Amino acid sequence: MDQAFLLILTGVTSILALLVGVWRLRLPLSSLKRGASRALECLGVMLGFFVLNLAVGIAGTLLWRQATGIFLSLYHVNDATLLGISLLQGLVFEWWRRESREPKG
Amino acid sequence: MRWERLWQSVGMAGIVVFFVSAFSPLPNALYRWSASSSEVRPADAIVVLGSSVGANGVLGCGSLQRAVRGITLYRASEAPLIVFSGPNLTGVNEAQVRAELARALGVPSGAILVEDEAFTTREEAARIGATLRGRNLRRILLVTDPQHMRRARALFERVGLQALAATAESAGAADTAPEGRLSLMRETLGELLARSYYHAAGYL
Repeated sequence: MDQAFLLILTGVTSILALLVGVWRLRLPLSSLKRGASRALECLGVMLGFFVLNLAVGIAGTLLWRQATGIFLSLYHVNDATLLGISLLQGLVFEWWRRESREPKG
Repeated sequence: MRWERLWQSVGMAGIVVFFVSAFSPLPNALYRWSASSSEVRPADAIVVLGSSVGANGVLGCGSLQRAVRGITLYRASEAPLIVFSGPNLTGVNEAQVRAELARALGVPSGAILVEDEAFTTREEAARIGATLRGRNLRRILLVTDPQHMRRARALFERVGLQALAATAESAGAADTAPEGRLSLMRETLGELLARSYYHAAGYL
């Protein structure tokens, strides 16, 4: 039931957003595919940062343990906050890249 | 163009993994596949592995479940000795908090041992193994969660103990809500990663 509720809820709000976009804001449907592709790309970069953070975090923790003999828990990287910060990193990086590439003005 | 394609593919893979993890029974199936089941028989000692304790002295969910499982086994006379493990990472000694809980629930102080200097499962096996072998105790009931059991058991057997699994089940294993399944997936992948690391490092 939880699953159906969430899927129905987000399905309904997605349809509402589509209707507002088409009828109220007069957005062309043809640009929806391009927008979705850009969103996918942005999400990909965000996930790339997440994997990078995980890899560096794990390797850094293990190296720290080896080098100092002081215990540092690997569970620090197993924190949902890391995903949120990684998403932010990816968003900023992707928009920086786009802004640098697209002509001004 | 290649940049776009690459990251679009990663993004799509992320979405697929997210929806499959949240809305399909895959996390529950992976959990069952990676989990061990209990084989409780009388032993020389019960060993309750560490988990977590808050800075306010309250045991984490997993820690409490393991401690209660160990105490229940002791009260059922499955072993005459119970070892609580758990270091002091937050300013509170997890093993001591569990020992106090056990005493409050009727376990005599003389039947309790505390190991509070091991930080990893490997260190727990080495330190507790040495203590128990020194007392000529060889067969233990090992208490941890079902996913952690395979790695923990192998480590305890490597230090010369016969480890019988006494799993401390959590309600999350049967969770079918999307958030619960995402948590289950994260825990399962974390344990699989830990197993891979232990294999690569030659600990298993």
